[in-house]
Amino acid sequence: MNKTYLASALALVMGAVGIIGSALGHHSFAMFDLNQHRLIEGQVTEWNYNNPHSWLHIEAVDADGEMKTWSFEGAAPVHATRQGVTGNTFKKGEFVRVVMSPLRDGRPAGAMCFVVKGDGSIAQPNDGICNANEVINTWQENGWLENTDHLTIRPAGER
Amino acid sequence: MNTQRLAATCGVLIAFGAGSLTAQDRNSADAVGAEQASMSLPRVELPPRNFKTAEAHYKYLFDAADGGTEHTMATIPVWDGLWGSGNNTMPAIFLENGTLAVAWSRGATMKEGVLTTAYEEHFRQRRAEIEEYGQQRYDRLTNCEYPGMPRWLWEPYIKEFVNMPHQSWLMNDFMNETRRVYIGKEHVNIDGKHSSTGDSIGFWDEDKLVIWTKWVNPADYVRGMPLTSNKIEMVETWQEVAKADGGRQLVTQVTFYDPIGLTSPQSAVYTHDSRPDLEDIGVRIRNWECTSSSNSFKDQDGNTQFYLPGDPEYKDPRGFTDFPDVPGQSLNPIFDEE
Repeated sequence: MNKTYLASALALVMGAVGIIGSALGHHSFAMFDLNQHRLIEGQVTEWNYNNPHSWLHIEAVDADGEMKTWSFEGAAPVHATRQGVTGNTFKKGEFVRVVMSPLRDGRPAGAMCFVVKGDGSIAQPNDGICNANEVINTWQENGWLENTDHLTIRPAGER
Repeated sequence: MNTQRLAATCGVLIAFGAGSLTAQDRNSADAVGAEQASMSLPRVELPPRNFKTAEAHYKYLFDAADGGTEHTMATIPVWDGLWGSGNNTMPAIFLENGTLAVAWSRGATMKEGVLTTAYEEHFRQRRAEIEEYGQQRYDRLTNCEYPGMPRWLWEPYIKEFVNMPHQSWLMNDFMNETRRVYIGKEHVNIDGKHSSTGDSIGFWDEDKLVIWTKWVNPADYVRGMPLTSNKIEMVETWQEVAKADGGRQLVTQVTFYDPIGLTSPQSAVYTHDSRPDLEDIGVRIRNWECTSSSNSFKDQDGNTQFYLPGDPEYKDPRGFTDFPDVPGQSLNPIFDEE
């Protein structure tokens, strides 16, 4: 079993026991466009494993080719931990591919669903607003993990 | 059938019917809400009489327990370890077929006459917002305002419970909200004000902890559900039970007395499940950060939004103290050093 599938299997188990409860977070999620998942790839600059929400910040180019800081919200640590994520999951400078629901207002930020790490493993720091296990399966079944370019949008399913 | 008994009946129906959510229900509901709503629930236990006040309810239980059981450290129930919030029947008080999944989704039907006129109208507006936007757009927690009671009972974070003969400490990592229950004492309020968790007194009836809470700040039952008033009082009974799968569960039977918000007292049951699995993976309760780490705010249109890196208002929770030029003032030393 390779690292990707091992991580996915672990996340599935952790998610099954831990997904309960992270639905509400500490704010509404109405600012995110939950109908789409966009892939953003770049290098980690900060991983804030903080309450009330974790945030992953990466440097990545935008549609105009300009380098920007992209920010992605995740679950509170106690929920992310149940999904196999810790404060050590992301390292500074690590290349990651983030699948997220973007902010409706177009700023470079969104709600993380799952993250493909530099070593190919998959991390699930998502809040309850995304059913990461289901989304990962969809991306794997459709070959999107291998065939999705930076900034590409994929449907998130009916919400 | 009075309102309380109707709510209790609904709660029981939820307990037995939650497993049969339709595919459409699951698609339209928040996935987590649907998951939580599928957790088993005990039956709602109504108060032994229709009390008008929490005080009358509490005193009745106190007298029925002959003044309560005087535990020592050797005999007091030990609710050790980490606990996670389970299911509850509270939404069934206010919504038809009111599971948690229904509470957070479009299409819910309000029950009429449970809330007083002003609170029912506010709840109607809140549900209308959910119909329009899919969610309640702003939650008081966004600005790090305390969720308070009764939301404390459900908030889905990690809790610890410490019982001692003179006090019980009910601790939620969420917002560092610790409830202190003063055993065998009377209510005291030398502060002359309300607070997020109010003032709680209690007694033991053998292995059952009975609590009366008052002087609570107005808040919400939970996001998407009605407001509570500054007159809400609660009588709770807490008891550990063994689940069919051998796990440990804390069952909380609660009656809400809110003469401003409710037309009559309402009862619900909440659960917490022991989570040794979380201890096994290293989860420990840390100090809850919010004012120094949350960048969400309510915008001028009433929506929740974020300050992002580069915005002047952005707070970097892993930056530096006010003295960045002094060595050792980084808030992120482990990440920085790797």
